[in-house]
Amino acid sequence: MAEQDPFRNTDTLDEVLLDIAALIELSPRDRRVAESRYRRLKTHLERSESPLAIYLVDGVSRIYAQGSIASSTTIVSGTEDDRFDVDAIVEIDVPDHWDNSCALDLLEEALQGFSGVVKIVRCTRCVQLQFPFMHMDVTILDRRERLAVERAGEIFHSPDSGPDARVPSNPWGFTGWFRGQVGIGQALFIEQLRRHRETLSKSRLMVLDEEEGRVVAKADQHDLPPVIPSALDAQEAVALKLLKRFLNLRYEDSPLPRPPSIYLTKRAGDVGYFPQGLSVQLYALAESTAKILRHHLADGTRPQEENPSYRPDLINDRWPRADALVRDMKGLAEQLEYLADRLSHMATASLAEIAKTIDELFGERVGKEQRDALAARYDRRSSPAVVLSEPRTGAIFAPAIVAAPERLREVPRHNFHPFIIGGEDKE
Amino acid sequence: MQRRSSDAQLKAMATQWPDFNGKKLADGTLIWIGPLRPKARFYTLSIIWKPVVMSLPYVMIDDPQLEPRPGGTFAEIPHLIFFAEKPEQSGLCLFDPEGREWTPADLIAATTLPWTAEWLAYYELWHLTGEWLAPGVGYESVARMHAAEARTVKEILADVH
Repeated sequence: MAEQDPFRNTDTLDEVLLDIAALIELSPRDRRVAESRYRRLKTHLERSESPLAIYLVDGVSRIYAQGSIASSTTIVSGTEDDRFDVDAIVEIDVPDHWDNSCALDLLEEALQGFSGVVKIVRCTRCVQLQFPFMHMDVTILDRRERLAVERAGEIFHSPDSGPDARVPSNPWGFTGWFRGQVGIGQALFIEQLRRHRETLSKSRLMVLDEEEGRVVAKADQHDLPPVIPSALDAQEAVALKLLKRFLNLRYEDSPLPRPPSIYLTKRAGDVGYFPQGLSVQLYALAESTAKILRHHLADGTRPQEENPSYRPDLINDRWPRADALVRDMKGLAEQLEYLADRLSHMATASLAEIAKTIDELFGERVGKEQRDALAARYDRRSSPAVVLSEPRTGAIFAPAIVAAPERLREVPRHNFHPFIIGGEDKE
Repeated sequence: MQRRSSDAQLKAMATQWPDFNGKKLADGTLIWIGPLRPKARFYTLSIIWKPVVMSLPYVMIDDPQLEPRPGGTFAEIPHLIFFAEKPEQSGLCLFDPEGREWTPADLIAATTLPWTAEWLAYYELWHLTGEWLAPGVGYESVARMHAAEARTVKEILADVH
Protein backbone atom coordinates (compact mmCIF):
# COMPACT_ATOMS: atom_id res chain seq x y z
CA MET A 1 0.00 0.00 0.00
CA ALA A 2 2.79 2.40 0.93
CA GLU A 3 4.26 2.80 -2.52
CA GLN A 4 1.10 4.16 -4.05
CA ASP A 5 -0.30 7.69 -4.37
CA PRO A 6 0.28 9.35 -0.98
CA PHE A 7 -3.11 11.01 -1.25
CA ARG A 8 -5.00 7.76 -1.87
CA ASN A 9 -6.51 7.97 1.59
CA THR A 10 -6.05 11.07 3.72
CA ASP A 11 -8.55 10.46 6.52
CA THR A 12 -6.00 11.14 9.27
CA LEU A 13 -4.45 14.23 7.70
CA ASP A 14 -7.95 15.51 6.90
CA GLU A 15 -8.88 15.00 10.55
CA VAL A 16 -5.88 17.08 11.64
CA LEU A 17 -6.50 19.81 9.04
CA LEU A 18 -10.18 20.07 9.99
CA ASP A 19 -9.06 20.62 13.59
CA ILE A 20 -6.70 23.39 12.46
CA ALA A 21 -9.43 25.02 10.36
CA ALA A 22 -11.84 25.00 13.31
CA LEU A 23 -9.16 26.58 15.52
CA ILE A 24 -8.26 29.49 13.24
CA GLU A 25 -11.69 30.59 12.03
CA LEU A 26 -14.31 32.94 13.41
CA SER A 27 -16.60 31.11 15.81
CA PRO A 28 -20.36 31.48 15.35
CA ARG A 29 -20.35 33.86 18.32
CA ASP A 30 -17.49 35.89 16.82
CA ARG A 31 -19.57 36.21 13.65
CA ARG A 32 -22.40 37.63 15.72
CA VAL A 33 -20.04 40.16 17.29
CA ALA A 34 -18.78 41.13 13.84
CA GLU A 35 -22.37 41.41 12.62
CA SER A 36 -23.09 43.80 15.48
CA ARG A 37 -20.11 45.97 14.47
CA TYR A 38 -21.36 46.22 10.89
CA ARG A 39 -24.74 47.37 12.19
CA ARG A 40 -23.04 49.94 14.40
CA LEU A 41 -21.03 51.15 11.44
CA LYS A 42 -24.25 51.83 9.53
CA THR A 43 -25.84 53.61 12.50
CA HIS A 44 -22.69 55.66 13.09
CA LEU A 45 -22.27 56.77 9.49
CA GLU A 46 -25.97 57.58 9.15
CA ARG A 47 -26.18 59.66 12.35
CA SER A 48 -27.17 63.25 11.71
CA GLU A 49 -23.71 64.69 12.53
CA SER A 50 -21.95 62.38 10.06
CA PRO A 51 -20.65 64.19 6.97
CA LEU A 52 -21.64 61.12 4.94
CA ALA A 53 -25.19 60.91 6.31
CA ILE A 54 -26.80 62.83 3.45
CA TYR A 55 -25.37 60.29 1.00
CA LEU A 56 -26.70 57.30 2.93
CA VAL A 57 -30.36 58.03 3.52
CA ASP A 58 -32.29 56.56 0.62
CA GLY A 59 -33.41 53.57 2.62
CA VAL A 60 -31.32 51.00 0.76
CA SER A 61 -28.58 49.45 2.86
CA ARG A 62 -25.35 50.40 1.17
CA ILE A 63 -23.04 49.44 3.95
CA TYR A 64 -22.10 45.79 3.78
CA ALA A 65 -19.47 43.19 4.51
CA GLN A 66 -16.94 42.38 1.84
CA GLY A 67 -13.72 40.40 1.57
CA SER A 68 -13.00 37.35 3.68
CA ILE A 69 -15.97 37.71 6.01
CA ALA A 70 -18.33 37.73 3.04
CA SER A 71 -16.64 34.71 1.49
CA SER A 72 -16.62 33.01 4.91
CA THR A 73 -12.83 32.68 4.96
CA THR A 74 -11.82 34.99 7.82
CA ILE A 75 -9.03 33.61 10.01
CA VAL A 76 -6.93 34.81 12.93
CA SER A 77 -4.20 37.11 11.73
CA GLY A 78 -0.88 36.08 13.31
CA THR A 79 1.18 33.53 15.19
CA GLU A 80 0.41 34.77 18.68
CA ASP A 81 -2.16 37.35 17.78
CA ASP A 82 -5.84 36.40 18.00
CA ARG A 83 -7.01 39.21 15.78
CA PHE A 84 -9.48 39.12 12.92
CA ASP A 85 -9.33 41.56 10.00
CA VAL A 86 -12.66 42.27 8.31
CA ASP A 87 -13.77 44.65 5.58
CA ALA A 88 -16.76 46.90 4.99
CA ILE A 89 -17.91 48.79 1.94
CA VAL A 90 -19.79 52.08 2.11
CA GLU A 91 -21.47 52.68 -1.22
CA ILE A 92 -22.44 56.24 -2.08
CA ASP A 93 -23.09 58.47 -5.10
CA VAL A 94 -19.94 60.53 -4.97
CA PRO A 95 -20.57 64.12 -6.05
CA ASP A 96 -18.65 65.26 -9.11
CA HIS A 97 -16.83 67.98 -7.24
CA TRP A 98 -15.06 65.58 -4.82
CA ASP A 99 -11.42 65.00 -5.59
CA ASN A 100 -9.93 61.55 -5.05
CA SER A 101 -8.80 62.13 -1.46
CA CYS A 102 -12.03 63.80 -0.38
CA ALA A 103 -13.94 60.53 0.02
CA LEU A 104 -11.39 59.06 2.44
CA ASP A 105 -11.08 62.41 4.27
CA LEU A 106 -14.83 62.53 4.89
CA LEU A 107 -14.96 58.86 5.81
CA GLU A 108 -12.20 59.34 8.36
CA GLU A 109 -14.08 62.31 9.80
CA ALA A 110 -17.37 60.44 9.86
CA LEU A 111 -15.84 57.51 11.74
CA GLN A 112 -14.54 59.64 14.62
CA GLY A 113 -16.20 58.85 17.93
CA PHE A 114 -17.06 55.26 16.94
CA SER A 115 -17.88 53.52 20.20
CA GLY A 116 -15.32 50.98 21.39
CA VAL A 117 -12.67 51.84 18.83
CA VAL A 118 -9.12 51.94 20.15
CA LYS A 119 -7.61 53.70 17.15
CA ILE A 120 -8.61 54.96 13.69
CA VAL A 121 -5.95 54.64 10.97
CA ARG A 122 -6.08 56.16 7.51
CA CYS A 123 -4.80 53.70 4.89
CA THR A 124 -4.18 54.01 1.17
CA ARG A 125 -7.63 52.77 0.12
CA CYS A 126 -9.61 52.57 3.35
CA VAL A 127 -9.94 53.81 6.90
CA GLN A 128 -9.24 51.19 9.52
CA LEU A 129 -11.19 50.90 12.77
CA GLN A 130 -9.08 49.11 15.35
CA PHE A 131 -11.07 47.29 18.03
CA PRO A 132 -9.56 44.88 20.56
CA PHE A 133 -8.94 41.62 18.60
CA MET A 134 -10.52 42.99 15.42
CA HIS A 135 -9.64 45.47 12.68
CA MET A 136 -12.33 46.65 10.27
CA ASP A 137 -11.20 48.24 7.01
CA VAL A 138 -13.92 50.59 5.75
CA THR A 139 -13.76 51.51 2.07
CA ILE A 140 -15.89 54.01 0.14
CA LEU A 141 -17.16 52.85 -3.22
CA ASP A 142 -18.48 55.37 -5.73
CA ARG A 143 -21.48 53.51 -7.13
CA ARG A 144 -21.47 55.23 -10.51
CA GLU A 145 -21.26 51.98 -12.51
CA ARG A 146 -24.25 50.41 -10.75
CA LEU A 147 -26.58 50.77 -13.70
CA ALA A 148 -24.27 48.68 -15.89
CA VAL A 149 -23.28 46.09 -13.25
CA GLU A 150 -24.91 45.59 -9.88
CA ARG A 151 -22.89 47.26 -7.11
CA ALA A 152 -19.92 47.99 -9.38
CA GLY A 153 -18.07 51.27 -8.97
CA GLU A 154 -14.77 52.83 -8.07
CA ILE A 155 -12.80 52.94 -4.86
CA PHE A 156 -10.32 55.64 -3.99
CA HIS A 157 -6.58 55.18 -3.93
CA SER A 158 -4.89 57.94 -1.98
CA PRO A 159 -1.25 57.10 -1.17
CA ASP A 160 1.06 59.21 1.01
CA SER A 161 3.22 59.88 -2.02
CA GLY A 162 2.25 59.76 -5.68
CA PRO A 163 -0.98 60.75 -7.36
CA ASP A 164 -4.47 59.91 -6.08
CA ALA A 165 -6.52 57.66 -8.33
CA ARG A 166 -9.82 55.83 -8.69
CA VAL A 167 -9.80 52.06 -9.08
CA PRO A 168 -12.66 50.05 -10.68
CA SER A 169 -14.07 47.64 -8.13
CA ASN A 170 -16.98 45.33 -7.47
CA PRO A 171 -16.36 43.42 -4.25
CA TRP A 172 -20.05 42.52 -3.94
CA GLY A 173 -19.94 40.86 -7.34
CA PHE A 174 -16.69 39.06 -6.53
CA THR A 175 -18.15 37.63 -3.35
CA GLY A 176 -21.19 36.45 -5.29
CA TRP A 177 -18.93 34.84 -7.90
CA PHE A 178 -16.88 32.99 -5.26
CA ARG A 179 -19.91 31.80 -3.35
CA GLY A 180 -21.49 30.63 -6.60
CA GLN A 181 -18.30 28.81 -7.63
CA VAL A 182 -17.89 26.82 -4.45
CA GLY A 183 -21.55 26.42 -3.48
CA ILE A 184 -22.70 25.74 0.05
CA GLY A 185 -20.48 22.67 0.40
CA GLN A 186 -20.98 18.91 0.42
CA ALA A 187 -23.31 17.66 3.16
CA LEU A 188 -20.81 15.10 4.47
CA PHE A 189 -18.00 17.65 4.65
CA ILE A 190 -20.24 20.18 6.40
CA GLU A 191 -21.17 17.55 8.98
CA GLN A 192 -17.50 16.62 9.52
CA LEU A 193 -16.58 20.26 10.04
CA ARG A 194 -19.48 20.78 12.42
CA ARG A 195 -18.26 17.87 14.53
CA HIS A 196 -14.73 19.29 14.72
CA ARG A 197 -16.09 22.73 15.61
CA GLU A 198 -18.08 21.28 18.50
CA THR A 199 -14.93 20.79 20.52
CA LEU A 200 -12.48 23.21 18.92
CA SER A 201 -14.37 26.37 18.01
CA LYS A 202 -12.94 29.31 19.96
CA SER A 203 -14.71 32.60 20.60
CA ARG A 204 -12.17 35.39 20.82
CA LEU A 205 -13.99 38.68 20.33
CA MET A 206 -15.08 40.55 23.43
CA VAL A 207 -18.28 42.56 23.31
CA LEU A 208 -17.63 46.29 23.43
CA ASP A 209 -20.38 47.20 25.88
CA GLU A 210 -23.69 46.06 27.33
CA GLU A 211 -25.60 47.01 24.20
CA GLU A 212 -23.39 44.84 21.99
CA GLY A 213 -23.67 42.05 24.56
CA ARG A 214 -27.46 42.19 24.27
CA VAL A 215 -27.32 42.25 20.46
CA VAL A 216 -24.96 39.26 20.36
CA ALA A 217 -27.07 37.33 22.85
CA LYS A 218 -30.27 38.08 20.93
CA ALA A 219 -28.81 37.39 17.49
CA ASP A 220 -30.45 34.00 17.27
CA GLN A 221 -33.85 35.62 17.27
CA HIS A 222 -33.40 36.77 13.65
CA ASP A 223 -35.25 40.00 14.21
CA LEU A 224 -32.95 41.81 11.78
CA PRO A 225 -31.83 40.76 8.31
CA PRO A 226 -28.19 39.58 8.32
CA VAL A 227 -25.45 42.01 7.30
CA ILE A 228 -22.83 39.31 6.77
CA PRO A 229 -23.63 36.64 4.17
CA SER A 230 -24.31 33.25 5.74
CA ALA A 231 -21.38 31.03 6.75
CA LEU A 232 -20.09 28.91 3.92
CA ASP A 233 -18.56 25.52 4.66
CA ALA A 234 -17.47 24.44 1.22
CA GLN A 235 -14.25 22.45 1.25
CA GLU A 236 -12.69 24.98 -1.15
CA ALA A 237 -13.33 27.78 1.38
CA VAL A 238 -11.83 25.74 4.23
CA ALA A 239 -8.73 24.94 2.14
CA LEU A 240 -8.39 28.66 1.45
CA LYS A 241 -8.45 29.41 5.19
CA LEU A 242 -5.59 26.96 5.70
CA LEU A 243 -3.61 28.40 2.81
CA LYS A 244 -4.07 31.91 4.17
CA ARG A 245 -2.92 30.83 7.62
CA PHE A 246 0.18 29.17 6.15
CA LEU A 247 1.06 32.24 4.08
CA ASN A 248 0.39 34.64 6.97
CA LEU A 249 3.09 32.86 8.95
CA ARG A 250 5.51 32.46 6.05
CA TYR A 251 5.33 36.15 5.15
CA GLU A 252 5.40 37.40 8.75
CA ASP A 253 9.14 38.08 8.65
CA SER A 254 9.57 38.19 4.90
CA PRO A 255 10.73 41.33 3.09
CA LEU A 256 8.30 40.41 0.29
CA PRO A 257 4.69 41.60 0.40
CA ARG A 258 2.05 38.96 1.07
CA PRO A 259 -0.08 38.20 -1.99
CA PRO A 260 -3.55 39.75 -1.64
CA SER A 261 -6.22 37.52 -0.16
CA ILE A 262 -8.52 38.27 -3.07
CA TYR A 263 -6.00 36.73 -5.52
CA LEU A 264 -5.90 33.55 -3.43
CA THR A 265 -9.69 33.59 -3.18
CA LYS A 266 -9.94 33.79 -6.97
CA ARG A 267 -7.58 30.81 -7.26
CA ALA A 268 -9.62 28.87 -4.68
CA GLY A 269 -12.76 29.54 -6.71
CA ASP A 270 -11.07 28.53 -9.97
CA VAL A 271 -9.42 25.33 -8.77
CA GLY A 272 -12.65 23.35 -8.36
CA TYR A 273 -13.79 20.74 -5.87
CA PHE A 274 -11.67 17.66 -5.09
CA PRO A 275 -13.76 14.82 -3.70
CA GLN A 276 -10.72 13.06 -2.20
CA GLY A 277 -10.85 15.40 0.80
CA LEU A 278 -9.45 18.53 2.41
CA SER A 279 -5.78 17.54 2.16
CA VAL A 280 -6.05 17.03 -1.59
CA GLN A 281 -8.09 20.24 -1.94
CA LEU A 282 -5.33 22.23 -0.22
CA TYR A 283 -2.61 20.43 -2.15
CA ALA A 284 -4.35 21.16 -5.46
CA LEU A 285 -4.80 24.83 -4.59
CA ALA A 286 -1.13 25.25 -3.64
CA GLU A 287 0.31 23.12 -6.43
CA SER A 288 -1.80 24.57 -9.27
CA THR A 289 -1.16 28.16 -8.18
CA ALA A 290 2.59 27.51 -7.99
CA LYS A 291 2.48 26.09 -11.53
CA ILE A 292 0.69 29.17 -12.82
CA LEU A 293 3.34 31.38 -11.26
CA ARG A 294 6.14 29.22 -12.68
CA HIS A 295 4.60 29.57 -16.15
CA HIS A 296 4.51 33.34 -15.75
CA LEU A 297 8.13 33.34 -14.62
CA ALA A 298 9.14 31.24 -17.61
CA ASP A 299 7.18 33.40 -20.06
CA GLY A 300 8.13 36.75 -18.55
CA THR A 301 4.46 37.55 -17.86
CA ARG A 302 2.42 38.17 -14.70
CA PRO A 303 -0.96 37.04 -13.37
CA GLN A 304 -3.65 39.57 -14.14
CA GLU A 305 -6.80 38.24 -12.56
CA GLU A 306 -10.01 40.00 -13.42
CA ASN A 307 -13.04 40.10 -11.17
CA PRO A 308 -15.37 37.74 -13.07
CA SER A 309 -18.34 39.91 -12.15
CA TYR A 310 -16.74 43.13 -13.40
CA ARG A 311 -13.81 42.85 -15.81
CA PRO A 312 -12.35 46.34 -15.24
CA ASP A 313 -11.72 45.32 -11.62
CA LEU A 314 -8.18 43.88 -11.73
CA ILE A 315 -8.09 42.15 -8.41
CA ASN A 316 -4.32 41.79 -8.05
CA ASP A 317 -3.45 45.22 -9.43
CA ARG A 318 -0.86 45.81 -6.68
CA TRP A 319 0.71 42.34 -6.62
CA PRO A 320 3.19 41.29 -7.90
CA ARG A 321 4.83 44.70 -7.67
CA ALA A 322 5.80 46.17 -11.04
CA ASP A 323 9.39 46.68 -9.90
CA ALA A 324 9.73 43.27 -8.25
CA LEU A 325 7.70 40.94 -10.47
CA VAL A 326 10.13 38.04 -10.46
CA ARG A 327 10.93 38.25 -6.74
CA ASP A 328 7.28 38.41 -5.72
CA MET A 329 6.13 35.57 -8.00
CA LYS A 330 9.15 33.38 -7.27
CA GLY A 331 8.70 33.98 -3.55
CA LEU A 332 5.08 32.85 -3.60
CA ALA A 333 5.75 29.91 -5.94
CA GLU A 334 8.43 28.64 -3.56
CA GLN A 335 6.15 28.90 -0.55
CA LEU A 336 3.33 27.07 -2.33
CA GLU A 337 5.66 24.34 -3.58
CA TYR A 338 6.92 23.90 -0.04
CA LEU A 339 3.37 23.57 1.27
CA ALA A 340 2.53 21.01 -1.44
CA ASP A 341 5.68 19.04 -0.61
CA ARG A 342 4.90 19.03 3.14
CA LEU A 343 1.32 17.90 2.48
CA SER A 344 2.64 14.99 0.39
CA HIS A 345 4.99 14.12 3.22
CA MET A 346 2.29 14.31 5.89
CA ALA A 347 -0.13 12.21 3.84
CA THR A 348 1.76 9.03 4.85
CA ALA A 349 3.79 10.19 7.88
CA SER A 350 3.16 9.15 11.49
CA LEU A 351 1.04 11.27 13.82
CA ALA A 352 4.19 12.49 15.57
CA GLU A 353 5.76 13.52 12.29
CA ILE A 354 2.53 15.20 11.16
CA ALA A 355 2.49 17.17 14.42
CA LYS A 356 6.01 18.51 13.85
CA THR A 357 5.09 19.61 10.35
CA ILE A 358 1.80 21.15 11.46
CA ASP A 359 3.71 23.27 14.00
CA GLU A 360 5.95 24.48 11.24
CA LEU A 361 3.19 25.20 8.72
CA PHE A 362 0.44 26.63 10.92
CA GLY A 363 2.19 27.72 14.15
CA GLU A 364 3.16 25.97 17.36
CA ARG A 365 0.32 27.38 19.43
CA VAL A 366 -2.33 26.15 17.01
CA GLY A 367 -0.42 22.87 16.62
CA LYS A 368 -0.43 22.27 20.36
CA GLU A 369 -4.13 23.01 20.64
CA GLN A 370 -4.78 20.55 17.82
CA ARG A 371 -2.70 17.82 19.48
CA ASP A 372 -4.46 18.34 22.78
CA ALA A 373 -7.82 18.04 21.06
CA LEU A 374 -6.75 14.90 19.18
CA ALA A 375 -5.49 13.26 22.39
CA ALA A 376 -8.68 14.17 24.26
CA ARG A 377 -10.80 12.75 21.44
CA TYR A 378 -9.12 9.32 21.66
CA ASP A 379 -8.50 9.23 25.41
CA ARG A 380 -10.59 6.32 26.69
CA ARG A 381 -8.67 5.58 29.89
CA SER A 382 -11.42 6.67 32.20
CA SER A 383 -14.51 6.26 30.05
CA PRO A 384 -16.26 3.33 28.46
CA ALA A 385 -16.12 4.99 25.01
CA VAL A 386 -15.68 2.83 21.94
CA VAL A 387 -13.68 3.38 18.77
CA LEU A 388 -14.80 2.57 15.25
CA SER A 389 -12.81 0.67 12.66
CA GLU A 390 -13.04 0.63 8.89
CA PRO A 391 -13.25 -2.77 7.23
CA ARG A 392 -10.25 -3.78 5.13
CA THR A 393 -7.89 -0.89 6.09
CA GLY A 394 -8.46 -1.06 9.86
CA ALA A 395 -8.65 2.75 10.02
CA ILE A 396 -9.57 3.81 13.56
CA PHE A 397 -11.90 6.71 14.30
CA ALA A 398 -13.28 8.36 17.43
CA PRO A 399 -17.08 8.37 17.06
CA ALA A 400 -17.20 12.11 17.89
CA ILE A 401 -15.84 13.08 14.47
CA VAL A 402 -17.44 10.42 12.27
CA ALA A 403 -20.01 11.90 9.92
CA ALA A 404 -20.90 8.59 8.20
CA PRO A 405 -20.67 5.80 10.82
CA GLU A 406 -22.58 3.26 8.71
CA ARG A 407 -19.40 2.18 6.89
CA LEU A 408 -17.57 1.49 10.16
CA ARG A 409 -17.69 -1.23 12.84
CA GLU A 410 -17.31 -0.95 16.57
CA VAL A 411 -14.05 -2.50 17.80
CA PRO A 412 -14.98 -5.28 20.26
CA ARG A 413 -14.34 -4.28 23.86
CA HIS A 414 -11.14 -5.56 25.45
CA ASN A 415 -8.15 -4.42 27.53
CA PHE A 416 -4.56 -4.17 26.39
CA HIS A 417 -2.05 -5.93 28.62
CA PRO A 418 1.76 -6.38 28.85
CA PHE A 419 3.46 -9.77 28.93
CA ILE A 420 7.04 -11.07 28.88
CA ILE A 421 8.10 -14.03 26.80
CA GLY A 422 9.85 -16.48 29.06
CA GLY A 423 8.70 -14.63 32.17
CA GLU A 424 5.69 -14.55 34.39
CA ASP A 425 2.87 -12.15 33.86
CA LYS A 426 3.16 -10.05 36.98
CA GLU A 427 -0.22 -8.41 37.24
CA MET B 1 -16.54 -23.57 24.03
CA GLN B 2 -16.52 -24.51 20.37
CA ARG B 3 -12.98 -23.99 19.05
CA ARG B 4 -12.94 -22.43 15.56
CA SER B 5 -11.44 -24.67 12.92
CA SER B 6 -8.42 -23.58 10.91
CA ASP B 7 -10.58 -23.45 7.80
CA ALA B 8 -13.08 -21.17 9.54
CA GLN B 9 -10.29 -18.81 10.60
CA LEU B 10 -8.77 -18.76 7.11
CA LYS B 11 -12.16 -18.21 5.47
CA ALA B 12 -13.14 -15.36 7.79
CA MET B 13 -9.81 -13.64 7.26
CA ALA B 14 -10.08 -13.97 3.47
CA THR B 15 -13.58 -12.50 3.55
CA GLN B 16 -13.07 -9.66 5.99
CA TRP B 17 -9.43 -8.79 5.31
CA PRO B 18 -8.88 -9.59 1.64
CA ASP B 19 -5.53 -7.77 1.48
CA PHE B 20 -4.01 -10.36 3.83
CA ASN B 21 -2.36 -13.47 2.44
CA GLY B 22 -3.14 -16.45 4.62
CA LYS B 23 -1.78 -19.97 4.55
CA LYS B 24 -1.71 -23.15 6.60
CA LEU B 25 1.68 -24.79 7.08
CA ALA B 26 2.21 -28.55 7.17
CA ASP B 27 2.40 -28.53 10.98
CA GLY B 28 -1.01 -26.82 11.19
CA THR B 29 0.32 -23.31 11.93
CA LEU B 30 -1.73 -20.55 10.35
CA ILE B 31 0.11 -17.47 9.07
CA TRP B 32 -1.28 -14.29 7.59
CA ILE B 33 0.74 -11.36 6.26
CA GLY B 34 -0.90 -8.15 5.20
CA PRO B 35 -1.34 -4.39 5.48
CA LEU B 36 -3.25 -2.12 7.82
CA ARG B 37 -3.53 1.63 7.95
CA PRO B 38 -5.11 2.31 11.32
CA LYS B 39 -4.18 5.97 11.65
CA ALA B 40 -1.53 7.91 9.77
CA ARG B 41 1.00 5.25 8.67
CA PHE B 42 0.82 2.10 6.61
CA TYR B 43 1.99 -1.08 8.38
CA THR B 44 2.70 -4.60 7.26
CA LEU B 45 2.18 -7.25 9.91
CA SER B 46 2.23 -10.98 10.47
CA ILE B 47 -0.21 -13.03 12.50
CA ILE B 48 0.80 -16.51 13.63
CA TRP B 49 -1.66 -18.96 15.19
CA LYS B 50 -1.04 -22.60 15.96
CA PRO B 51 -4.27 -24.02 17.31
CA VAL B 52 -4.02 -26.05 20.52
CA VAL B 53 -0.30 -25.27 20.96
CA MET B 54 -0.57 -21.47 21.28
CA SER B 55 -2.83 -19.77 23.79
CA LEU B 56 -3.21 -16.62 21.70
CA PRO B 57 -2.48 -15.40 18.16
CA TYR B 58 0.94 -13.77 17.94
CA VAL B 59 0.93 -10.45 16.03
CA MET B 60 4.22 -8.94 14.88
CA ILE B 61 4.75 -5.65 13.09
CA ASP B 62 7.08 -6.26 10.14
CA ASP B 63 7.27 -2.83 8.54
CA PRO B 64 7.97 -0.26 9.77
CA GLN B 65 9.52 -1.97 12.78
CA LEU B 66 8.30 -0.94 16.21
CA GLU B 67 10.46 1.67 17.83
CA PRO B 68 10.62 3.33 21.23
CA ARG B 69 10.03 7.03 21.72
CA PRO B 70 13.17 9.13 21.10
CA GLY B 71 15.64 8.42 23.90
CA GLY B 72 13.52 5.57 25.27
CA THR B 73 13.77 1.78 25.27
CA PHE B 74 11.77 -1.02 23.67
CA ALA B 75 10.64 -2.13 27.11
CA GLU B 76 8.81 1.17 27.46
CA ILE B 77 6.55 0.46 24.49
CA PRO B 78 3.17 -0.24 26.08
CA HIS B 79 1.32 -3.53 25.89
CA LEU B 80 3.87 -5.79 24.22
CA ILE B 81 4.43 -9.50 24.48
CA PHE B 82 7.99 -8.53 25.17
CA PHE B 83 10.73 -10.58 23.52
CA ALA B 84 13.84 -9.38 25.37
CA GLU B 85 16.34 -11.09 23.04
CA LYS B 86 14.84 -9.57 19.89
CA PRO B 87 12.63 -6.73 21.08
CA GLU B 88 11.74 -5.64 17.55
CA GLN B 89 10.06 -9.03 17.14
CA SER B 90 7.92 -8.52 20.21
CA GLY B 91 4.25 -9.32 19.74
CA LEU B 92 1.31 -7.12 20.55
CA CYS B 93 -0.52 -7.92 23.76
CA LEU B 94 -4.03 -7.25 22.64
CA PHE B 95 -6.21 -8.52 25.47
CA ASP B 96 -6.24 -9.58 29.08
CA PRO B 97 -5.71 -13.39 29.18
CA GLU B 98 -7.05 -13.61 32.73
CA GLY B 99 -10.19 -11.77 31.68
CA ARG B 100 -10.73 -14.39 28.98
CA GLU B 101 -11.33 -11.63 26.45
CA TRP B 102 -10.22 -13.98 23.69
CA THR B 103 -10.59 -17.73 23.30
CA PRO B 104 -10.03 -20.06 20.34
CA ALA B 105 -13.78 -19.89 19.84
CA ASP B 106 -13.34 -16.34 18.56
CA LEU B 107 -12.55 -15.45 15.00
CA ILE B 108 -9.16 -13.79 14.55
CA ALA B 109 -10.70 -11.70 11.77
CA ALA B 110 -13.32 -10.29 14.12
CA THR B 111 -11.12 -9.71 17.18
CA THR B 112 -7.35 -9.85 16.68
CA LEU B 113 -7.39 -7.72 13.52
CA PRO B 114 -9.53 -4.83 14.83
CA TRP B 115 -7.57 -4.94 18.11
CA THR B 116 -4.30 -4.79 16.16
CA ALA B 117 -5.56 -1.78 14.23
CA GLU B 118 -6.58 -0.16 17.51
CA TRP B 119 -3.19 -1.00 19.08
CA LEU B 120 -1.34 0.62 16.17
CA ALA B 121 -3.52 3.74 16.28
CA TYR B 122 -2.80 4.12 20.01
CA TYR B 123 0.88 3.33 19.44
CA GLU B 124 1.04 6.36 17.12
CA LEU B 125 -0.84 8.43 19.70
CA TRP B 126 1.64 7.19 22.34
CA HIS B 127 4.53 8.36 20.16
CA LEU B 128 2.76 11.72 19.84
CA THR B 129 1.75 12.28 23.46
CA GLY B 130 3.85 9.91 25.60
CA GLU B 131 0.67 8.45 27.05
CA TRP B 132 -1.22 5.26 26.27
CA LEU B 133 -4.76 6.55 25.87
CA ALA B 134 -6.62 3.25 25.41
CA PRO B 135 -8.02 1.02 28.16
CA GLY B 136 -5.60 -1.47 29.65
CA VAL B 137 -5.13 -3.64 32.71
CA GLY B 138 -2.01 -4.22 34.74
CA TYR B 139 1.24 -2.40 34.12
CA GLU B 140 1.32 -0.39 30.94
CA SER B 141 4.71 -1.70 29.84
CA VAL B 142 7.41 -4.17 30.79
CA ALA B 143 9.62 -1.25 31.82
CA ARG B 144 6.97 -0.05 34.27
CA MET B 145 6.53 -3.59 35.57
CA HIS B 146 10.26 -3.82 36.27
CA ALA B 147 10.30 -0.34 37.82
CA ALA B 148 7.49 -1.39 40.16
CA GLU B 149 9.41 -4.55 41.09
CA ALA B 150 12.53 -2.49 41.81
CA ARG B 151 10.53 -0.14 44.03
CA THR B 152 9.11 -3.09 45.96
CA VAL B 153 12.56 -4.62 46.47
CA LYS B 154 13.92 -1.27 47.68
CA GLU B 155 11.06 -0.92 50.13
CA ILE B 156 11.61 -4.43 51.46
CA LEU B 157 15.37 -3.84 51.80
CA ALA B 158 14.72 -0.57 53.59
CA ASP B 159 12.44 -2.35 56.04
CA VAL B 160 14.94 -5.16 56.60
CA HIS B 161 17.76 -2.74 57.39
